[in-house]
Amino acid sequence: MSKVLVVNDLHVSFDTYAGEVQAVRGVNFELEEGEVLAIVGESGCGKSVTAQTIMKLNPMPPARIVKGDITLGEHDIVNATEKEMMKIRGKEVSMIFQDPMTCLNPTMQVGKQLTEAIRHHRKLSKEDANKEAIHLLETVKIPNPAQRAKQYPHEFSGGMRQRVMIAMALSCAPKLLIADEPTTALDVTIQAQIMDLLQEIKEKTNTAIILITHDLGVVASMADRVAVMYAGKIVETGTAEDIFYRPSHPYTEALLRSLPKTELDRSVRLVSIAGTPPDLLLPPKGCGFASRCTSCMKICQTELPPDFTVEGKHQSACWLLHEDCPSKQCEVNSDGK
Amino acid sequence: MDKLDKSRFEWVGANALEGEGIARPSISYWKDAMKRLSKNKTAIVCLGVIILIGLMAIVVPIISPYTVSEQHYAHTNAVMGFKDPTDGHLHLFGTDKLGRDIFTRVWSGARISLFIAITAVFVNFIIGIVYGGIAGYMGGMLDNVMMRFIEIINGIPYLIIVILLMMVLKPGTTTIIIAYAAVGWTGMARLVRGQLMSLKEQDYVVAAKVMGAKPARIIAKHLLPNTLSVVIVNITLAIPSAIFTEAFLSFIGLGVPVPLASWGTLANDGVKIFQMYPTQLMIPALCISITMLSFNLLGDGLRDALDPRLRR
Amino acid sequence: MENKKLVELKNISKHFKVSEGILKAVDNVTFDIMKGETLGLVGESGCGKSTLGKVLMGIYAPTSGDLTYYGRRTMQINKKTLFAYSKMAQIIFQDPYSSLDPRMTVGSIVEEGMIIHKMYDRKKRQERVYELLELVGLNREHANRFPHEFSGGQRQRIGIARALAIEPEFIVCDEPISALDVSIQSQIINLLHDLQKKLDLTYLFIAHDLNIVKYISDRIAVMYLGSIMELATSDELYSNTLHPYSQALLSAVPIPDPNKEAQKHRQILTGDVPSPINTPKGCSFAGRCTYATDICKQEKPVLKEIRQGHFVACHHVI
Repeated sequence: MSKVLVVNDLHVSFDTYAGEVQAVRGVNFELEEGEVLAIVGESGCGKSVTAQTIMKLNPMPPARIVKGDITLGEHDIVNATEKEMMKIRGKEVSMIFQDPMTCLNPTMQVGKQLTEAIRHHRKLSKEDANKEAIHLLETVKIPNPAQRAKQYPHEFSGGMRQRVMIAMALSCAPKLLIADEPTTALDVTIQAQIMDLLQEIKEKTNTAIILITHDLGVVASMADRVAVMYAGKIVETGTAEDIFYRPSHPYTEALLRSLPKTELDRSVRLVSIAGTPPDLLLPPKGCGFASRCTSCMKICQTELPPDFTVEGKHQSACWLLHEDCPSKQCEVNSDGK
Repeated sequence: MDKLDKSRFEWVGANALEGEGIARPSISYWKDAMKRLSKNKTAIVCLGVIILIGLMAIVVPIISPYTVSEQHYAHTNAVMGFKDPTDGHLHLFGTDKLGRDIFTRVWSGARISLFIAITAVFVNFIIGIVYGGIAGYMGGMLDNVMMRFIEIINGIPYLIIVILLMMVLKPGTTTIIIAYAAVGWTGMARLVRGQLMSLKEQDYVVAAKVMGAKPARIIAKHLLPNTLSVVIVNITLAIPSAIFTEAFLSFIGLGVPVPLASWGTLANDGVKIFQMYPTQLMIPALCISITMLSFNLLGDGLRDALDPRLRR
Repeated sequence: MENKKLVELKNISKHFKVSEGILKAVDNVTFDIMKGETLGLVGESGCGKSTLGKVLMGIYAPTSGDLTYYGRRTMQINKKTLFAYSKMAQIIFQDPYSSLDPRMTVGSIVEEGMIIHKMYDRKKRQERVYELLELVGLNREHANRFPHEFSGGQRQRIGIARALAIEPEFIVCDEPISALDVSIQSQIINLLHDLQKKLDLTYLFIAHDLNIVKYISDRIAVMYLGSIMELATSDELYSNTLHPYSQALLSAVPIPDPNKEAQKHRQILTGDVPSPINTPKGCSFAGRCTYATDICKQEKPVLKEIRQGHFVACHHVI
């Protein structure tokens, strides 16, 4: 299986009037065909910026790719010109966003928006494009597609609009679909419908999906592999089972522990992570999580931990995994004491 | 992997409370806005120009050796920089057809034009805030009626009101101010009303209501301060419009009476002899244009600086 | 847990007139909130839970029905008693970014309630502001800063300090953690929990995150299109979900556990949440319910006590 996407040592910064904000500080990951990679993290961790940089959607001032490579299939994204990117977007990679209302043109019929997307990349006649649009609406399970195609976005509900966006994203059969918090704004029952739909589509078309979310439940139900991001870096990567059952980074562990489990009794306190994420205008010298980490050591405060291999492809960036780290320390500290 | 000194693995533990502290120094909304404005070079230049014009308007008529109406028949329509042989003073902008020093007239004209513009806008502001404030806060039927009234006023061309007022009142600066205020307040009223209607729904206003605050307190402490930034921008942008209105009225002869000079009357005088002595039109026209442009650009800069959404 | 009633809702309805007809945001709701409990109110968007919260706070006057308060003072809640009621009941908002006045310092925000209710003198109020800030986990120095300098979680704490300033007994929490990150959510939940024990507070916790609601609530009410479908203790609701909507809702929540997720049989509801404008007669869930029969479309079911303390509004649950 060939690699759909390779991201290597990506650094992205924003030049603001207050200074340089280092939003992404060295991110590495790969994606195979048909794989679902979930990038999990809280707000400000850099996951959305990473995704938008893959499609070069960030306006380049104030955003800036400081260094790194992004290889999508055979395309070199970092050095691609805007003209080249326009050919790539929609065809090789497309994106669905959190709020479908702001991504659909409210003054244009839905069907027309779809055909516009289709005809931009594929040379089809108007009728063929129309037929294709209706077929796409069927694929995303919108009832009465022929009728609905003539309607405007405000006549659709939130869940339906999300489906339309998915249809638009898939119109040119991209190899990679980036879903940036696609269900965060939706009700739970609609979220379940959309997740089911994405799963079905993935199985049918073998599209690779990058799923960006902060909801670990969504991750558990959809992801093959997971990358946990914090303060602009990926702190742990592995399969979904690695991350949920064998977390090896204090942040991942803390995150999992802070989720209320349904079996939990109210007399047990929820474990929370004290403090707040660091200000990326003045990023800390060492590990970004150091000030909030119960296992923090001297070295954590001064040096950025590299990626250590836990097992196979399961990696974690934590000094606790260094061979010189006294193991008693590691045990004591994974208790959270 | 490199071997690392064991001491580096000494356990430190979390010090999250440090994390709760705030790294950046405290900065109020206005200070932050001023900081952003100062980074906008265009706006700062315009502010400088406005201050300069203001200073000149105040100082020049005082220190000038000539008065506004002093006539020198010996050298009428003199060129710029003409040196008067009799007393050795320079006519920096030359003289007009009656031998009056244009430089002095321009800057005392500035006083009049600016005074009218600022006063008119200020009166608009007061009426607008009260009217718009009531309509916006009360909402419902009262708001409906008040807005319809505004629409009626807007339907009447202001020139007709000005002419009517001119017929009734003596021509002069007060009349122009009244004429402008009579129709101009609607813009500010609409703006304030719109702001209040949207601010009313903000959670912090609801919180104050739930806390038991009376309407007076809500308007004074919560609604008006948050409307100020929009109002300030509007005022800054309304001034050039007032300047132009005054100039226009004076230009068509409905403005300040002789011998007072405003930029509009100066332009009016200048247009008659434009073919022969173009500077007499161009100088007041340039003054009007530069002042308007400066206020407009400053207003734009203020709008960007005061808009909290642009805060990073 | 005491068994005293704190707030009693009887046949509360809130209707809005819109251009297309009547929007029944809250439709004939009756239940009690007990002193000292945390009652969770869950439902999806448009179900009316926020509106119900606002009716409880006096922000909206109910179109019909009675609202009675049995706390430090017993009173009917209406326009005349709103000021006195505001000292007993307060609200915490969802959006930390719009719930604090951006032009006021944190100290003045927290102090405002005390000024309005003429509590203490200036010196004592300052003291109390510092006490409250420390109580919610912030520092005294924060009193001079402005809301925009704080993170979402910290702003929520300020909102909580503000609500506590006038010493209320009852707090409506309107989705207080939905806008916060996961690791911060648990901080706020723990804080609310501690405050409840310390200050003997009663909460109405409105949320759509079922996992959190299950954790923090003693009892849970499930709302759909303006009506309460089911009301029971948290444990009972989860072990014995009786109403079809509650079943679908609970099964739709993704569990952060890959193996459990893979095994779960998820009940997918077809269609969208219908509009609360001009609702048809009968049970509001009939259109999407797999068990719906004729009677469901004709007659609206009433909330009945099926088991001890477990209420359900459904014709097919006996």
